Amino acid sequence: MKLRYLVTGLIMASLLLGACQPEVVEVVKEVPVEQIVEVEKIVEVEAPKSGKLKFTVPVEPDLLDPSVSSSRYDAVVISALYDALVFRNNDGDYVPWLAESWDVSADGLVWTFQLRSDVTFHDGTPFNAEAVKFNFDRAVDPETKSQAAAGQLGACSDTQVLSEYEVQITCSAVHASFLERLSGAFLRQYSPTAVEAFGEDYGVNPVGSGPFIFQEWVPSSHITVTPNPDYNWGPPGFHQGSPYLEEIYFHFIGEEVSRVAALKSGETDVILYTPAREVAKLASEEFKVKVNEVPGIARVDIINAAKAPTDELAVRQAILHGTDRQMIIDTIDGGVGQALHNVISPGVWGYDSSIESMYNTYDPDKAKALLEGAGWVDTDGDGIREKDGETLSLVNVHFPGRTPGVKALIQAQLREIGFEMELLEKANPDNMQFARAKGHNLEWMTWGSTDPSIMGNLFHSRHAGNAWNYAFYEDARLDEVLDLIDQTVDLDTRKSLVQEAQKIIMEAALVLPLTIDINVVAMHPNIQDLSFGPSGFYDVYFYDTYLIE
Amino acid sequence: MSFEYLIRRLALAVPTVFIVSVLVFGLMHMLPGEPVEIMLSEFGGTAEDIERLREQLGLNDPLYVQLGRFLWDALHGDLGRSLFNRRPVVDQILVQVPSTLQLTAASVLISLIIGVPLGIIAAIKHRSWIDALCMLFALVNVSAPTFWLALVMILVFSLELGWFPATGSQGLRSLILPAVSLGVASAGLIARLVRSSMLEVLSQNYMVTARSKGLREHIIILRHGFRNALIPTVTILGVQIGNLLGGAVVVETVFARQGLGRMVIQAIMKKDYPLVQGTLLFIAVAYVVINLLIDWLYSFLDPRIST
Amino acid sequence: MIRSILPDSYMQFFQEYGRNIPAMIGAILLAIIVAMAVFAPQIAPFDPISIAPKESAEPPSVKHIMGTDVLGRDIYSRVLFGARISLRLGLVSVSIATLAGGMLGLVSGYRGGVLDLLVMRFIDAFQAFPSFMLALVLVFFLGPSLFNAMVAVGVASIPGYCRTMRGSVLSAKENEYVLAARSIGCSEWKIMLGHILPNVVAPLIVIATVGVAWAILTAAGLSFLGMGAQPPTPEWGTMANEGRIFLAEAWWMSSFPGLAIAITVISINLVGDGLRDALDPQDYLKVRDA
Repeated sequence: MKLRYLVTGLIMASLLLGACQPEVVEVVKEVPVEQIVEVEKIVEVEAPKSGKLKFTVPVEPDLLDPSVSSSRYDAVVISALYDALVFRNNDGDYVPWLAESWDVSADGLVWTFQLRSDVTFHDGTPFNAEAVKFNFDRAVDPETKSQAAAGQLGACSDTQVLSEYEVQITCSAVHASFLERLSGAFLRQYSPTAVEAFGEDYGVNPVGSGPFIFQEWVPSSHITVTPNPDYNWGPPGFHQGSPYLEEIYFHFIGEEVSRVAALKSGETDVILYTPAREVAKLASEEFKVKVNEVPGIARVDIINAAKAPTDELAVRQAILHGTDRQMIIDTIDGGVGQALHNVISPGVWGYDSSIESMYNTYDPDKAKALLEGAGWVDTDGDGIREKDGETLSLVNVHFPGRTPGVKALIQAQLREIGFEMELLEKANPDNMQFARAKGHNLEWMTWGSTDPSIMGNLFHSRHAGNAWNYAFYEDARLDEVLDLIDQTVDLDTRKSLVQEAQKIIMEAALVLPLTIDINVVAMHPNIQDLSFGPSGFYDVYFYDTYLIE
Repeated sequence: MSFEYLIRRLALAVPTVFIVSVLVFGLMHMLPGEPVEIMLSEFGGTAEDIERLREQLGLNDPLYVQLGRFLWDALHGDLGRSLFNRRPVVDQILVQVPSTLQLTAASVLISLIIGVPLGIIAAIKHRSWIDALCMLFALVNVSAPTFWLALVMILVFSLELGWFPATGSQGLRSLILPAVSLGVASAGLIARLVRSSMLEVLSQNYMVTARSKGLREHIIILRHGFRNALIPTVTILGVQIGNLLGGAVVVETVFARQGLGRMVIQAIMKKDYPLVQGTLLFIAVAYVVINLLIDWLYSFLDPRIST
Repeated sequence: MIRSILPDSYMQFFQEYGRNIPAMIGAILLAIIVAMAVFAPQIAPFDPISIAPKESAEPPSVKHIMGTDVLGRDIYSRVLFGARISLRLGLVSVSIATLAGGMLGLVSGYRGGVLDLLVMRFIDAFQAFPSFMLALVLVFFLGPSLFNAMVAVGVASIPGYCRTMRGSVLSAKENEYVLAARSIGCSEWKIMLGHILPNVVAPLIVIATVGVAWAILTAAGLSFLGMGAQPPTPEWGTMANEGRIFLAEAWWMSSFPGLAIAITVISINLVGDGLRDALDPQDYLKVRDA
C-alpha cells in the first residue's frame, strides 16, 4: 500500500517536474540574443575598471577653496575634491550625503544635521561637527573675504556644535533654498587642519574628503588629482568605494576651436562648451556628444517695462509672439538645443510646463494685431510702426562676441512686424551700468541656477537699479510671491508659489525667452559613465567613470 | 660708460617709474565698473553681498589710502595678491615671464636672422632687381598687421601643412610660428637699416683707400659695414623690444599662448586691480631697465658717444 | 638743418619725388585706395550691414569676389567701406597726435627750464610702456568703440611727435633768424609760429605719413582684440576678428580684410619713404654740393 502511494507520488512528482521542465527548456530556448550578450557583458564587467582621464576646462580655476571661490570653473574641480552635506539627485530631491539626516524647526529658522561618523579628510583629519562649524564660521569671517560662500549661507550664519556628529545652524531669516545651497559647490566641506597649515595659500593646496585627492597644480598648465583609496561615503546612485579612474588631468583651453582640435587629436578626452556647429561632425566621427541643459534664467532678453515702447504690455507681448525661436536654433546652432518658452528653464526646481503654451507658437499675425490694437501703425510706409509721433524703436543690449547672429536674426524677425531695433554691444561693467540706468528695452541675460530663487534676484523690485533687476516692473503680488518663495520651507507650498511667479512674469511678458542654455559635452568614445548633476555643467560625477580600451 | 652717467640715468628713471605707478593706479580706478560685481555675477549676489565684499577687500577705502598702500608695498617688493585668485601677484608674473621671454627672445633672434642677411644682400646688390626684391619683402613685413600674419601662418603651416601646432605654450615647435609672426616686422626694419648703413660705408672714402690696398672687398664690406650697421640696429632693437612686448598681446591671443600681455588684458577686463597695477608696473620697470641696457651697449659700440 | 619749403621749391620737390619709382607706385596705389574709399557707396555691390543668413559663409565666387561672412554679408563691399573707416581713423589719430604732441614739443622745447623737465618726464612715463599696450589700456579706459580707438591711438602716439618737434625746436632756437627776431623784440608766439614752425614742417610730414600707417595697424590690432570698432561696423580688424573662429572652414573671412590693411599700409609706407627721400637734407646737400 505505502509503496503504491510512494510510486504515485513519485510519478506525480516526476509528472509535475516533467510539466515544469518543458517550460524551463522553452525559456532557455527563447532566451533573446540580448540576454546572451548580457551574460558576456557581465563577464567583461568583472575586469577592473580604470583609466586616466584628461578633462578640459575652458578657463583655469581661480582657487580651490570653497569658502572663497565663486567661479563655475572652480566648481568643476571642487566637485572632484570635496563632498557636500546634502545631495540633490536628478529627480530634484534632497537626499543624505555627509549628513545622514536632518530636520528643520517649524518656523524654518533652525536646521539640525546628524553627520556621518566614518568620514575622514585626505590628510587624516576626521570629519565632524567641529569641522562643519569651522568651515561655515570661516565663510562668514570678514578676514576670509568670501565671494560666494558667505552669500550662500546668508542669514544662516550661526553654526553650533551640539555633539560630535550633530551640528545646528540657526538662521535669522528663512532661507527656503538652504538645502539647495548646501548641495552646491561653495558649502562643501574641507579640512580645518589644512587651512590652519596653509593659511592664505590654502586655495592652491586643497584638502577635502572627496573621491579624488589633490596632487599638483602647475599654474597655466594643469591640475592633477588621484583617487582617494579610503573613499566610502559617495552620494547615492553611484557605486560605493574608491573611484575607478587612476587619475584626472584637468587642463585649460580657452578657445573653442582649440578645444575641439584637442579632442580630435587625442590631446584631451572630454571638453565642455563645444560649439553647436561642431556637433554633427563630432557625432559622425564616433565621439559621444551630450547636450546638457544648464538651468536657470538663461538665454533670454529681459524686457524693460519702464522704458517706452516696452512699457506697454501689448508691445511686450507682440515681441514674444513675433520671435521665431526655433528658426534661431536651426540657423545659428544647426538645430542643436531647444527653444525656451518660459522665464525659467525646465531644469529649475518647480518648472511649470503648462506656461509654455502661452507663447510657444510663432505667431506674427497675432503680434501685428496686438500692435495695431495698441495704436501702433505704419503711417509712412517704411515698414516701421509709429504712434503719436514716436517710432516703434527698441534698444537691444548684449555682450560682445556672443553670437551676434542671434541678435541680427531677432532684429530681422521683429522688423517684419514693424519694429526697429538698434543693437548695442556693451561689455561689463559698461553693460551693467547702462542697464541699471534703464537704457535698454531688451537686455541679454544668462544666469545659471537650479533654484527658483533667481526669479527673485531678477524681478523683485528691491533689486531694481542697484543689482540685477533689469525689468523694472512694479507689482506688489509678484514681490510678495518672490519673497514667500525664499521663506517657504514646505516643498509643496513652495512649488505652487514658484508656479504662480512664472505665471505672473509671463503674463506680464517681462522676458523674451530664446533658447535653453546648453553645455555641449563631447567625449572620447572610450569614456564610460561620466555624468553631470542638475547644473549640467560644473557638478561633474566622476564616481563611476572609467575608460575602456 | 661712466658711473655718473649710469647714476644719472637711474636717478631720472625713478621719478618716471613713480609717475608710471600713479598713472597706472589712477587709470585703473577711473575705469568704470568694479571687480566685486564681476566676482559675484556668476552665482549671484545681492546688493548687500556686493557691499560686504567691497568693504572686506578694502575697496571702500579712500583712493589715496589705496594708492599709498600700493606704493609702500611695491617698494618692499610686495605687489599684493590678486583679488580673484588670492595668489601673490609677484608669483603670477613670474609664472608668465618665461613664456613671454621666450617669445621675445625668439622674435629678436628671428628678426636678426632674417633682417641682417637681407640688408647685407640688398646693399651688395645695390640698384639691382635683387635689391628691389629684398626691399619689397622688407616693406611687406613692416606693413602687414601682426594678427594677419599670425592667422596666415596658422592657415598655411598649421592647418594645411601640419608642420607646427596652432596653439600652445610648451616646447620649441609651438614657439616658431608666434615668433615669426612677431619677428618679421622688426626684420623688415632691420633689413632697411642694415642696407642703408652698409651703403653709407660702401660709399665712404676709406673704402677707396682700402680697395686700393688690394684687400678683398667682401671682408672690407663685412667688417666695416657690419660695424656701422650695428649701432642703429641696436637702437632699433631697443624700440622693437617694446613693440614686441606690446604686439605679443595679439600673438598670444591668436596662438592661445601664455604670457604677460594676455594676463594683463584678462586682468584689466576683470578689474583685478592688484594684478593689473603690479604687472604694468613690472612691465614699465622692465622696459626702462632694458632700454638702459641697450644704451649701455650702445656706448660700447660707438666710441663717438661721450658720456 | 632743413631748408624751409618756400613756393619756388615745390617744383623741385615734385621732380625729386617723381624720380623715385617705388614712391610713385605707392602714390598711385594710395590714390586708388582713397578713390575706392570715397566712392565706396557707389562701387560696392552689396550693402555692408544687412545680413543674409541664407548666403552664410560662401567661398569667393563671381557674385561675391571675396566671399561672404557668417551672416551672409559680402566681404568685398565691407572691405570697401572699411577703407573709409581706416583712412579716417589714420587721419584723425595722427591729427590728434600732431596737434597735441606738436604743441607740447613746441612749448616745452622753446621755453625750456622746469616746464621742459616736467613735460619730458611725463613723456618718458608714457614711453615706459610698449605703445600698443598703452593704446590698449587707454581704450579700456575710454570704452571699446571706434572713436575711442582713434583717440587712444592718437594719444599713444603723442610722445613721438612731441620729441620730434622738441628736437627741431631746440636746434632751430639757435638759428640766426630766431636770434635776430628776438633781438628785435618780436613776441615769443610770433617767433614760434613764424620762424620755428616752418622749419619743423618737413620732418613732421614724414613722421605723420608713417604715423598714419602705424595708426591704421594699431587700431586694427585693437579692433581685432575686440577693443576697437564693434560689430557690425566693417572695420578691417573687427572683420578679421569675426572671421577668426572660422579660419579652418572659411579662410577668406579674415584673410581679405588683413590683406587690405597690408596693401594700404604698404602704399602709405612707400609714399612716406618717397617724401623722406625728397625732403631729406642730406640728399639736398648732396645736390647742392654736387
